[in-house]
Amino acid sequence: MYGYQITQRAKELTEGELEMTEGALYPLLHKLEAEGMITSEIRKINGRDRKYYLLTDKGSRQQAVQEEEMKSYLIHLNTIFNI
Amino acid sequence: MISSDQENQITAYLLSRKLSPQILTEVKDHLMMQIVSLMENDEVSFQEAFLAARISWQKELEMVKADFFSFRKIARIEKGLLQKRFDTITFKALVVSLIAAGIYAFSGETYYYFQIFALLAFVAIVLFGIFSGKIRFIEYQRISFHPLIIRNIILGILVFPIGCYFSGEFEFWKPVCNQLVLFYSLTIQLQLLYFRTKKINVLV
Repeated sequence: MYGYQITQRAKELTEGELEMTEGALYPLLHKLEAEGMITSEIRKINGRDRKYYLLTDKGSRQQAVQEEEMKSYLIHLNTIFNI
Repeated sequence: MISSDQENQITAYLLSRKLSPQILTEVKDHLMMQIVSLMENDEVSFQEAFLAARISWQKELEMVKADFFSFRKIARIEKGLLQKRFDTITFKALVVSLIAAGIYAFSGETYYYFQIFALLAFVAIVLFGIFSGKIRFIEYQRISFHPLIIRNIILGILVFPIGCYFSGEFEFWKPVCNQLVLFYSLTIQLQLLYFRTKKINVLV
């Protein structure tokens, strides 16, 4: 996925609730790339350079861990508020 | 669709923000996609869409001081990336300096060779950079006024007299703590040169 696509996808999945600011997105993508979580490649699209980001194996493993942590956090939060 | 003239307007705007090639490509692509989307969905002209996109990027593309010790102004988004790079450079230099201190604690002779190795690596990168055309001599000169180097000079001014006072040595390069500060500074310069040869923006 490329930067603009990521912002639009996030907006679409959350039905417009989550609007990522561009200034927050790119520094984060560069940080993840430096940490080896994602990798990037430039592709020519309609004669224009576009930078695509791809998840690495390390990134996939980290994603699974983060997802589990988030699910657990939400379950606990739900338990607290249901009391 | 965006015409080549309109694309040139976008490029000129982004170049006026002094974005490095690493981020220019993706910011330009993002801005163009945003403009096309506004033109298609809101049925506005290119100029209106371009203005709206510029407003949404206003904070990120605002020109700010690159560093406390720098007179150069760069876009805020670039500053964020640059400061993270500076933090990494500083952290690595600290780790290497601590390793050097550890080596000194075990063997003074090995520490001496470690210093020579670092100096040779520095000379090798300078010569490689200049002769391969990856660093211009003017860029090497600019490194001397780099914010990280200015910080090290200030650190040296503060630490050297203390080191001399406690060791009883008058030559500032003799006390070990002063040598470690010099070693730390050399490691910073080495990294700046390395990043420059790799064409990664480190404000040189």
